[in-house]
Amino acid sequence: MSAMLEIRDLKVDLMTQRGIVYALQGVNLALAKGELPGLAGGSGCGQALTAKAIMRLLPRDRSRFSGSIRFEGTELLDAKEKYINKLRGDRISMIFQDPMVSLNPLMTIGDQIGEIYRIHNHVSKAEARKRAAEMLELVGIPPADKRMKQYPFELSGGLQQRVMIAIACACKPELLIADEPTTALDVTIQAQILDLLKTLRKELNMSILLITHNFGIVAEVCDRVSVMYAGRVIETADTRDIFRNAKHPYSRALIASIPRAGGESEYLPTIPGAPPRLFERINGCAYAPRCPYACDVCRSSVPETNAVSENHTAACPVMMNDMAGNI
Amino acid sequence: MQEYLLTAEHLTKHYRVGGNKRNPKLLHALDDVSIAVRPGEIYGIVGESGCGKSTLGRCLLRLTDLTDGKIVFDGKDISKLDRRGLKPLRRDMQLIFQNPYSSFDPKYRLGVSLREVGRAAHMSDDEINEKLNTLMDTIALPRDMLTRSPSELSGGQLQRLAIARALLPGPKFIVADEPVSALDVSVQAQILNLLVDLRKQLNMTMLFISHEMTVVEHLCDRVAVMYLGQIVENAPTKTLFANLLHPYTRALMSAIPKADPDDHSERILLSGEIPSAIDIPKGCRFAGRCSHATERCLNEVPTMKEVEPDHFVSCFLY
Ligand SMILES: Nc1ncnc2c1ncn2[C@@H]1O[C@H](COP(=O)(O)OP(=O)(O)O)[C@@H](O)[C@H]1O
Ligand code: SF4
Ligand SMILES: [Mg+2]
Repeated sequence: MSAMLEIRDLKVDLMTQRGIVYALQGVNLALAKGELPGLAGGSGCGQALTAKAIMRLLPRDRSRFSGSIRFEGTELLDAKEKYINKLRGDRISMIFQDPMVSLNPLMTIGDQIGEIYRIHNHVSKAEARKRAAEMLELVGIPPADKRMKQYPFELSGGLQQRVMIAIACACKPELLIADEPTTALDVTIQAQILDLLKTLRKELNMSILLITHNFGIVAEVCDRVSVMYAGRVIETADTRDIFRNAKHPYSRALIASIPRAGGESEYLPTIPGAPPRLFERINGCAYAPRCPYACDVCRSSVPETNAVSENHTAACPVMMNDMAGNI
Repeated sequence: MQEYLLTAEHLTKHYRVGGNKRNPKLLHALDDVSIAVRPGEIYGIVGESGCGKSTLGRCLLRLTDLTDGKIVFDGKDISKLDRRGLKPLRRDMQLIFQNPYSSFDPKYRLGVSLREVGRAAHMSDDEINEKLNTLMDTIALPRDMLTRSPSELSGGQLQRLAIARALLPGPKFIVADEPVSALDVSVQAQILNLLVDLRKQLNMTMLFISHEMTVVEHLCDRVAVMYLGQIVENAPTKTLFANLLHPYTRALMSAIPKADPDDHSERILLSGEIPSAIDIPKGCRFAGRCSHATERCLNEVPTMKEVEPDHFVSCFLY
């Protein structure tokens, strides 16, 4: 499998008013053409930041980067702004939890989608309109001629999200980064949007990196998943493996804490404590203070990411060596 | 002991959103909703956004006037009480909100916000302090958290304090409006566990509002499913989940992404969206999205029917 996107040891420091936040402390992630992996974890663990780093959306003057983000062989971290601008929207696109972040409230839907074709493909106005209408059909909001004339605020959250997807996919990108795209939506609408993303992936033959905190969504739509904690990827596995054979105690605890249909026990397993604030580089496993299996090894150095099996890696010395027995 | 702590019959709440006095444009937030809550019960209300859950909660607490209907709380008809008449009730009925961050005034230390609720309920300072000490143990937070300001605490910690604040005056009835919806799953689990504990320790009665079927199934004794201002199905939790009857309930359950890679059960994908609460469809309100809809569903309004013992559903299929 050759990677389309490959992130190696990505570190991002953010200069904030309260000091330097070591927000990403070594992210490793790879994604091949046509894949739909998930990027999961609790809030503040760095998933959205990783996405922004790929899209180069972080303010250069207030952030520091090291490591590497390669897209189809080209390093993005130090690529020219001109190159990135062309890449964005054309080959890599992003959608967000709140569609209004990227929709222009003062422009009709038709003009907003059409504009993409005008800018990226230099087509005529009429051609842009025609393609915009096709795109609206593709994302499932007919009748296109009526929708084209509407403004974002006239649409429900679910329809706004579809418009945002239409805009993001207008140029048939190779990679779509979807950051919690259904978190603000009701479940029945969420199901529709997830279904749409699955369809578009096939129709447009695109990869989707799906950021979600919801392991139900991972189970339903993702081929595999990387779990983040405190600015690192702590485990990557095929979806089935993360549910059946997670190695990292944090992955296990997250999955165990989900209330399930037909769940029997009265109490849900929880994780004691809270994630660390990242005001320093953590020299050890960041999860150790909350982990029931933590031992000296975990606290003394950052755990290496090792292979569990073919498509499964985890960063936990205890579980990898089965020092904790067959837990 | 009385069978029900609170009963609501034919509750209706319309908001005027336009038009004029003679010909007002009405938003039907709640239409003819009836529920009965037993003492010690956690009664779940579940449905998607805009279906009227919060409106129901606010009506039951009489934080708003009713358009129609009757509420009997603790043996007393409270439907028509005015502000003054309601005052003595405030101590007995409390509300917990969804967003823990906006539940507390950022200007004040948390202890100040909590004590204020006690004073409003005419508790003495000694009484308040004593109660706060026990409550802080119950919610498993150190007492010195009360000297902090809201911005210093996490969402989970604030939600614990919001629960403590609601419990402080020793209410008979609590409405918890999506209290775990804004929290991460692991934190959500902590709060749900706390509520399970509280039910055991305090035998509290609660209306628990949520948009998540799995959460109400986990916590509640009884569940009512709402759609577009009405209850469409209502039963004890076990009965309901063993036998989902209303097509909407089934779709709602089916739409939840299952955290199980081996669950390949057929999904029911609803088309379209919830209709506007202003132009209420005639007939069954769900008919436009229901795969079982017939001519009759489009024209007649279904009514609640007891399909099996204590399991009520409003649908022509039954
Ligand atoms: N103060 C208000 N004025 C007008 N409409 C309202 C008001 N409060 C709620 N609504 C409307 O009533 C309906 C039910 O709202 P709500 O009870 O908040 O639903 P839920 O809590 O289930 O999301 C919605 O259509 C909402 O827009
Ligand atoms: S009454 Fe008819 S339309 Fe309504 S839920 Fe039942 S079958 Fe569907
Ligand atoms: Mg609400």
